[in-house]
Amino acid sequence: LNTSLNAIYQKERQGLFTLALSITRSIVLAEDAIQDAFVKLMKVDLPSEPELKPYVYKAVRFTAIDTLRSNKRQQSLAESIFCDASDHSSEHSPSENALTEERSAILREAIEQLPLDEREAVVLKAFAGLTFRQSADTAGVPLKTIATRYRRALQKLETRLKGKL
Amino acid sequence: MNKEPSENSDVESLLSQLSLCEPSADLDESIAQICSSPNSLHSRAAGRLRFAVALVASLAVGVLIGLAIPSYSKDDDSPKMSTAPESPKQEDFAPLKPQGVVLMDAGFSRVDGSPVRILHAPKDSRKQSGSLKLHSKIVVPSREI
Repeated sequence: LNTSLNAIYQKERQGLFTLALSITRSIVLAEDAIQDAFVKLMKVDLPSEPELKPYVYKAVRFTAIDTLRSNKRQQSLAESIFCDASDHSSEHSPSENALTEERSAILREAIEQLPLDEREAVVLKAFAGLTFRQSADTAGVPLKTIATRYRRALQKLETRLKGKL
Repeated sequence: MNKEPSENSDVESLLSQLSLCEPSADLDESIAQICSSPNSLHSRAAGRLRFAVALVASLAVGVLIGLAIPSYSKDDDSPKMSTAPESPKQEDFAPLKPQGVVLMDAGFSRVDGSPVRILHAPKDSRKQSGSLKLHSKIVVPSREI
């Protein structure tokens, strides 16, 4: 189980970190939450492989929420889930790159401004690569709810893109 | 049933191009350590908590030691007050010889109705005025000189 847990982390580290960071809005707190979650995971009986992935996501999500609650007054919670480096657009022409970069910047800002539940749906589905079923299990909501949140979030993002470009 | 609307495919393709913030190598190392050695489990938050507790305990011990050992400041000109008053000794009031060590004549005052002369007076006693109190080695009844 230890090796499978480590393997899950190696495979999902980016998604887990993005989820924790989207909740805590702090890199330090996000890393603390992931570490605490894995400490707890080591002490429980883990499910088998198909359910292990959403189980780990759910553990990280709960721990991130707890971490946020206990540290909310001590930290300035405004760190982005996106890095400052330019996005993957080097295969395009300079003008296309500029356009893509502008659209990416708008998109990044729009995602940061989404409500937490919709941002979480985007993170789980688009960034972590979970299915709707796994996303629903992780967020602790019905499948239909997570799908609705995701679609609503995408519509908001598209509206923001159309309005700016 | 749960497929995304086709009009959002452009947004989704853009989402896949965004650069996400990466976890640090320290976290990778910590998770690997956690997964490899369950007996040495400890979170960074718990580690920081333990450090804070140890720091506070060290400070508390330091404060207690500081309170237990009375300090003496060099700038403090006032005579040190001892907890138990030193009982006067017989030799403190022994008559001094005329060629004795009369370092300062601070004038006369009265102790128990008798004039006294101050011998071996420390610097502090120069500022004293009014009736003098018996003090070891500095007050000698004049009738004994």
